[in-house]
Amino acid sequence: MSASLGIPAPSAPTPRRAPEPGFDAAVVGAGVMGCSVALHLAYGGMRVALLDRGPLCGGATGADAGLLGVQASPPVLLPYARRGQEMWLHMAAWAGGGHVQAVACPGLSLAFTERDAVLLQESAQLQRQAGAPVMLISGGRAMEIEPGLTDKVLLAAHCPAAGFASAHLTGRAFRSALLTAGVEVFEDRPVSAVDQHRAGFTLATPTGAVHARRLVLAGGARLGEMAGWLGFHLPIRVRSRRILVTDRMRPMMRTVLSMATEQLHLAQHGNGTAMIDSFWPEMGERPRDETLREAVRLAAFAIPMLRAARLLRTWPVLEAETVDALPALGPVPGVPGAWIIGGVPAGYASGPCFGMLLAQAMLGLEPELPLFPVDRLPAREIA
Amino acid sequence: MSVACDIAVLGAGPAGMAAATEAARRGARVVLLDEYPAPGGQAHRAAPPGFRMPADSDRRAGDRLRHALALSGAELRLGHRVWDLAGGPPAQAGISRPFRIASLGPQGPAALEARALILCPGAQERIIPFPGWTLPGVIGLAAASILLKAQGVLPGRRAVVAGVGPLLLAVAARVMKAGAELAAVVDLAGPAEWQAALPALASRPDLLMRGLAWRARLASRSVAVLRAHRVLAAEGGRVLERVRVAPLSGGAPEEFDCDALCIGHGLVPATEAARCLGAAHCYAPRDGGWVPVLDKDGRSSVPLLYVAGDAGSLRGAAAAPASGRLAALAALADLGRLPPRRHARARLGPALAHAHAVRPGAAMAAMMALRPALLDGIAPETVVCRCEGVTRRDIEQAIGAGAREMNQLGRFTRCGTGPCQGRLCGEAAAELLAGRVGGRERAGFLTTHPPLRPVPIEMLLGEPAPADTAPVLAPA
Repeated sequence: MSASLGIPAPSAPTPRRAPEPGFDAAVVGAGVMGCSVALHLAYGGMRVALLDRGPLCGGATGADAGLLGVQASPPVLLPYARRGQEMWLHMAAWAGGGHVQAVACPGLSLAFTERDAVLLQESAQLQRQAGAPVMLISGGRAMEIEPGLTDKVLLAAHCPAAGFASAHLTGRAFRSALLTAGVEVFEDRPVSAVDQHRAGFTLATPTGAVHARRLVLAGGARLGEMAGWLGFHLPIRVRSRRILVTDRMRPMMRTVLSMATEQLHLAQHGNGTAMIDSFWPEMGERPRDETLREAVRLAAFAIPMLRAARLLRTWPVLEAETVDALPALGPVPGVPGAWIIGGVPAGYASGPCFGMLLAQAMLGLEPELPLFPVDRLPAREIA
Repeated sequence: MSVACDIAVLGAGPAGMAAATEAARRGARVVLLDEYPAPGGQAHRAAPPGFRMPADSDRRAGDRLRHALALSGAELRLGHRVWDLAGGPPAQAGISRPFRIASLGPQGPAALEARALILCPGAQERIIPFPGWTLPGVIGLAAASILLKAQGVLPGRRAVVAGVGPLLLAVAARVMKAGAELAAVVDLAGPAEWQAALPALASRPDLLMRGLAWRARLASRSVAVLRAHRVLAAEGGRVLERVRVAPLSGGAPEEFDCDALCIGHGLVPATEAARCLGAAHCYAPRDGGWVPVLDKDGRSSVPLLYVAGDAGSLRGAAAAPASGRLAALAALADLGRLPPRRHARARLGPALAHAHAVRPGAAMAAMMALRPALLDGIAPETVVCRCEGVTRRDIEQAIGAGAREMNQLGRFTRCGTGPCQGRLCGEAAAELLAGRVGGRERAGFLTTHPPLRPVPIEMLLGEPAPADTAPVLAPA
């Protein structure tokens, strides 16, 4: 792989200034997906620029609840989630010692009603078919595994391989690895437009243009907007969740809990705080305080001890989701050298894996697991 | 559960009481909310049941405001902790939504919808850590002031009173009056700063006379008053035993044995409510730090959202009522309840009163502005964020690891993510960060989301849920 090509800048703001050296690849968006692609491209010998309008992992990644191995559907994503979880647990090994305090623990998915139980049975069967060691257990058995649990559980699905990470540390964990690998990190450097030409791409930013032969769009909730830079319409919608955090309680939980309805996930971190990841109809009609109270009520129903805690903080997380809820992971159709990554809800857990796979494909290698090219989606060119 | 009104006022201190009174007297449906069971705020705090406090000028001013409020027709919702603020009309033309104020009151969770919202949450104490500041026996000046003023409770038997601003002498005088021994008064401000503030203070001869009387009382008891001095460290085994102080210019430290240290480094406007609603803010050290961008009538960047009193700019309790009345009149005008010409006439009185009252307040705010030199006193192993046990060294390391604004610093270190939600550590952490990234504007501030204060989950849930049915989240 040749290093800096020094592509002349057709739209350089000041002709007298020497153009910034060209990169083999520019990654726009420094969340978990962008960081992982950038790092693995650099490991493959490319000269990489990583740009973000804010700080490293300052968006949805740093705000994530960091729950691993709780995404039950669709089953086709299970191998990616498992590989991602493995990567988080052993991050120090591939990220120069950086880590996110990831720990493994069992996961329990809970049914409180007959309707929940049917949902749970269906998803457990699909997961088993996809190779996940999921077992259906009684409420009594679930209480033995999770001492904090209510006795109102009708049926539970037990997965031995779940866990959680301290997602707020992700930016710190990636940073030294990226710099050591030679990635040029441009924080607070918003890209406003991309000019596509024969030699590659020119990215317009307020503090000067960046040139690169390849382009990776890794913009999280803004992925659709970024695809628009290349005249590509990505059928995607923005989904929101809300994370709720309690103050410190005595250690009581040993599992990651999920509701069969997937409305809420819950775990207690090592410092004693409980983290609730709730699916959040933010754009809905209901007032925020009412929905927040409902999420808390559901969590406290599952773990009665939560009633003694205080709610300390909450925050929204915005994510992009493609129309078929599968990742956008592959080349941008009709734009040679441009790639796209994201579009999958709860992408934190599998993020490092997706990033590695895309980097493998961009480096001309066979990806460990198949990509999800976006030409499957009902795309159309923007006139 | 949700009730509609024209104007909601948050905070029943001098600004909030005056704002609610003004708006209600002019016929608006007004609801005034406060966390405490009686109106008054910190400046005019009402005595709790069973405590009888002597009337002083603060008390009398508060009683006048309380009396007017009681006659105004404003509805009081006391004992309500506001934990979420949402809604409000969008900045561009569009469908106008009311503000929604979620609170936890004596009867459980409540919500209020209001067409206009006036925020009067006041100020909070600025804390700049120093070795030993977390020892039992060290309390804030404002906290000491509340203990002494509202409850007549002494913070200790032999006290050092330290820091800066008008509370310094007030607390010192009250400590002595309450019968405790005063070991020393340690003032960050030097004689020259007091000299410079004198002309502004002279516009309030009553306050000036009170200050002089306090100083005379200190002199008559031969209490050591150290000007341009700072506290280097609080020391002791399990509790505070002594305080080490030194001149700001350097020089030999002195030690004072004591069992209480009342220390405050000024006040900071409470801005979380305005931030939660997305109002634009700017950094203005002479107004107290980060403050909402306001016009002269208290209008924020969010339509129909107003800020009055110390929360908008530190100008003290004397200036707060006029600023509350200006905001109330502006809200009435913006809601179409006060024609422009009548509004112009009505605002003249409070505008004049405000202009007169802000001078001494501004002089005090300037004296209380954060002194970056104090940051040098934070040792590497000194805890800055006591909720999460984050030391100065942890913060410096996180900055070295790439944290360049407050939210990233919080993610990297957990600084400001504990129960105080950054209220105690925010100023010191931001100042440490600002020194490395080139200013407080760059360092930014923690993004505010609900809850505005930590809320007990039991209270949030209100009535116990039916025990056998799982609650279900509403579908999207």
